[in-house]
Amino acid sequence: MIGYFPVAVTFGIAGMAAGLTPLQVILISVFVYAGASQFLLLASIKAGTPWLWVVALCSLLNARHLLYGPLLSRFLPAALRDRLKVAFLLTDEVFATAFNRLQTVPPARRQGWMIALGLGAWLTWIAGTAVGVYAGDGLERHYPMLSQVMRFALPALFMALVCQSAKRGMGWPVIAAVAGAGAVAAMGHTTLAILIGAIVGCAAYRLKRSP
Amino acid sequence: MNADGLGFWGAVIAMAVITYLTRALPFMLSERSRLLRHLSREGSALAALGPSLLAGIAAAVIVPDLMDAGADAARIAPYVGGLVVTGVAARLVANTGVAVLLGMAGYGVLLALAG
Repeated sequence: MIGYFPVAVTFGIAGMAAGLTPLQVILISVFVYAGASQFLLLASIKAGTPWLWVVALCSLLNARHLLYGPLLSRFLPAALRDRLKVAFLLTDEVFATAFNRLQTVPPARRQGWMIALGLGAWLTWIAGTAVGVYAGDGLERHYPMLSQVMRFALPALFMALVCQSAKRGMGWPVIAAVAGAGAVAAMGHTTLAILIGAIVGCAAYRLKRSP
Repeated sequence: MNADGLGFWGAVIAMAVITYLTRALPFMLSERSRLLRHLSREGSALAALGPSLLAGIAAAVIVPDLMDAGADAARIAPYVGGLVVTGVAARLVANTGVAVLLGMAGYGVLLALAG
């Protein structure tokens, strides 16, 4: 939960810098509740990407979530209704924490433990976004140079995510994706660049793993 | 994409529904489902999809900023320097938010020095 707060503050600041209203920024955090997808939305506003493309890219970005359910299933209660409640709260970080800790929680308490963990993370995400929205705006009025620094939040966030994801055999695929997408973006096709990056990265990963 | 129109809210609602479905769908399928076994398989291309998309989005965000700055060293140097600080911080600390805040601080300092 502590780890969520600075990212959420950054989202609040970047959302305001992208020209959204405070209510829009906070409602995105309430309903979408997926960091990478939310920052994709801001990047798309900046790049003028058509919203159908944004939704399609969000689907691809979220495809990794399909892996979380099967891996957690054996630790969770069997009732589908209970599992569907947990599903809304199942972010990358909640999954990682649950995957490492859930087996040490007594089976009867696992549903409550998951809900407490997930709700805590969700509320922290919303609170951090609100802090970024309102404190960020006040700071910008009193310190105009901060406006420029705040606009750097979006590139910095993706830079950090890329550097952290380029681990465990993903180094070359990520470098290939950056190179492919960078070349297309330099030609002025930012939306296409994202798709090319995804294709080039996956192809590099397959090539790397083929004997 | 325009943040004022109905399309914006349509996109937000669609993203919320899709995000929930990708998290909930595996719980609705049988654990013996061939689709889930395929997706969970070691070495599945899906493992590279998330990092590759993030890399693509990063390039789509960063490259236009660098093109806009052109040959203006006073704009490019703090921007690149801030990215380097962010990248190093991201590798050294596990917390993404802390890395972003350190990167923003580094960018601010370099901007002040260049200005």
